[in-house]
Amino acid sequence: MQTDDMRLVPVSLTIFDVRQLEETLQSCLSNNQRLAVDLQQLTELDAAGVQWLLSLEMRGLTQTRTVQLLQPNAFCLEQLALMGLQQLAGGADNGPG
Amino acid sequence: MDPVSTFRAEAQEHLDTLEQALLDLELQPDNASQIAAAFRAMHTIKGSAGMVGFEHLSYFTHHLENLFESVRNSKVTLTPELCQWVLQAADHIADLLLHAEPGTELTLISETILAKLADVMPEHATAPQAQAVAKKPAKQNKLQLYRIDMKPHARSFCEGLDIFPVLRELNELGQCHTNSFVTDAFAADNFDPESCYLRLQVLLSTSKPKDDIADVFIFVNEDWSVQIVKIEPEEAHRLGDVLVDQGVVDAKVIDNILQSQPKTGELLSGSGLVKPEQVQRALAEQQYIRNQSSASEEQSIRVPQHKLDALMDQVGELVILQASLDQLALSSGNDRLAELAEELNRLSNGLRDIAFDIRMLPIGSTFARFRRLIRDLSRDLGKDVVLETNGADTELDKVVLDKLADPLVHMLRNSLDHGIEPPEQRRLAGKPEKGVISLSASHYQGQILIEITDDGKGLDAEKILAKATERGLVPEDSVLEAEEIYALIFAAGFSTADKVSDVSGRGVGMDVVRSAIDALQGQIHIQSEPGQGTTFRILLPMTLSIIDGLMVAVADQRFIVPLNMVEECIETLETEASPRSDTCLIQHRGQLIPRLRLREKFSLPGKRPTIEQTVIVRVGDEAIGITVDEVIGNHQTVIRNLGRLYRDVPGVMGATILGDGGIAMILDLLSLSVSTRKYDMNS
Repeated sequence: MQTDDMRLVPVSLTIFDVRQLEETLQSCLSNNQRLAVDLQQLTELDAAGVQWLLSLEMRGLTQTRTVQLLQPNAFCLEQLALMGLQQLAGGADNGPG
Repeated sequence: MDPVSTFRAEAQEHLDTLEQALLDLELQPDNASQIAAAFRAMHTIKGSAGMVGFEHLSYFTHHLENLFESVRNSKVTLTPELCQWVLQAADHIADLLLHAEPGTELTLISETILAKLADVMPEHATAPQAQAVAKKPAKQNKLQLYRIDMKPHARSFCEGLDIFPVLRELNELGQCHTNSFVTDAFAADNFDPESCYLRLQVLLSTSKPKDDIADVFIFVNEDWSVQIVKIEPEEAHRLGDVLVDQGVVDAKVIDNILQSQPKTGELLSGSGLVKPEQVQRALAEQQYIRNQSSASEEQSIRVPQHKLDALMDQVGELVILQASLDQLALSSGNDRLAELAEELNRLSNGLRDIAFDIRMLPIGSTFARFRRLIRDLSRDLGKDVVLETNGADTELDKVVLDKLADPLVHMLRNSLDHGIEPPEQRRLAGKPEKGVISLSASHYQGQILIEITDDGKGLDAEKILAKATERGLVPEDSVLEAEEIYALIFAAGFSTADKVSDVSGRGVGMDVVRSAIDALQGQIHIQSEPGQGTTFRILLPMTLSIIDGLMVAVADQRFIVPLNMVEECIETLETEASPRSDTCLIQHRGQLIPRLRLREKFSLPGKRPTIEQTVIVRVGDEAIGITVDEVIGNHQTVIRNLGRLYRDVPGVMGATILGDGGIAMILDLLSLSVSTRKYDMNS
């Protein structure tokens, strides 16, 4: 990541957070910044949050590494597995970034 | 070999073990050693599959391992129906071995089989302790597969309806396999994160009734589109196609999503079902069992066949070079050279034997497949037939073994279809309803003898002759011996079957059997007794690459007679045979046997010596004499195929290169004996 890229370490990724996250994302995209979302501290993840993560892939943002999902914790992996979407975190760069 | 190839090869061996164990267990459900063998096979495949990334296979075999664990602990009795489903599971494992990440259809088949296995488990499969707690055990519902399609309303998230509680409840009902997609309403450039675009499909394997599943959606049903469909086993096999046909989802998407199966260990420990330390303990136990079995068995390694072929080629070249060296040593008169040549000869003989031995495999590995074949086919044909095998330890060259499998399959199918009568007919004939086909292998005069015997109705010589005459295979009014008539079934396109069945009866096959046996330089004979049964006897050489030969000479031409067929060499005087014919009968140990002069057979120039040498060889049950000018002695013979020009010359099966660079033809004693007998009959 470049120094001016943005890194988020959300504790919650739910219906209450996705609007803000999407605005942050759009802001990064406008400024040609990359966004790293560190999932290590995540303690809340609902279907809206998972949908936002899935949308990153559907919009091709994770494939181009415009957005990176980092270090998903066990809770995050379990939630994704419940929805059959574990590949969302599996393709992430799990290093410290 | 890479780890995955090794895993596949080993897993296939374990599958063979499982299959054999099941076939035995069908007859003896309490056979402890076979139950243990089946358990070990599943346990090993499960562990190895997980290690090489075949997670779904690991998951599938885990259930089978549990089943055999229950059988081992007498909690479950293996019924024939259960065995039948486990055999299907074994077939399915063979399919899963091809796909580390199976697609939708294979996954569905797995679930269907597992559901069926649970379904056909006997009533007393319930654990005894569970029965003790509940005085009246609750009736165990059948495990059933459901497909649940759900599409939450777009405003679901904003209305506080989350999908996870629903998924968790479904997971409490049984084993779930979930796929999530976005709907067509999703637009990358106009994404509203608070709207729900998700659509989910859950495959649920549960013993709960459908109403219990519907109850999960009781709070969301008005807003969500939910469909719960019971999947029948037949449908499961086509579900992928159905979904694609319905335009519900692209086939690629299904496969992509299914390709991301969770690792079993992660999923189990993550879901709290199993603690990580329990997984570690299981792995340690697996390692222990592996160590125990490897300690008690001889170590072995896997080598690709082409490397063995290359080794055999090199040994063949060495043998040829050795012959040159022997000749040089002999002609040089140098004692030291002769001594070294003799020592080298001893070493190269040892090397040849070892290389030869490496390629030998017990024929039992081929027999094993046939038990399943007979079992399945006899059911299809409504017959009760058992296959008995003998001599499974008899060893054959792998190349011969591979080429032998298909002919044997066809002959067994033929015996089952045409030989063994239906139970009713057998009862009327005073025979036991259960038919017996026996398959045996043994050593016979330096060759391998394979016999396939059935206790069926025997061959109908009249019918065969009539059919052969009708098809123009033999002239009308031919008078043939029984064995000659039986041999007509090997003619191309011959079949006496009144009805064409799926098993055999199309008239293709028996001629292919004959060609395959001929290609292996073998012979096939038929013995049949009407009403009693039929025996096919196949004689095969043990190897096709290097043989011990007896070198003989006529004029300056040398020939090799396969040594394993030589009985003895005798001197014959010119006057003992007719000077005008190349065959005649000679007196040998009180018997008249046909003999053949190679000089006349191959039109070789020169005058016959006054005292000739006759090599008595045994072809099958018959002895013939091969008369030559001189018997030179033993010769290690590396068999080389003849070129196109000489391939079809009768009487020779190949050639070998001699120490002096010359060529010696290897005699095909089978065709020589046939032509000798024909000549005698005609004259």
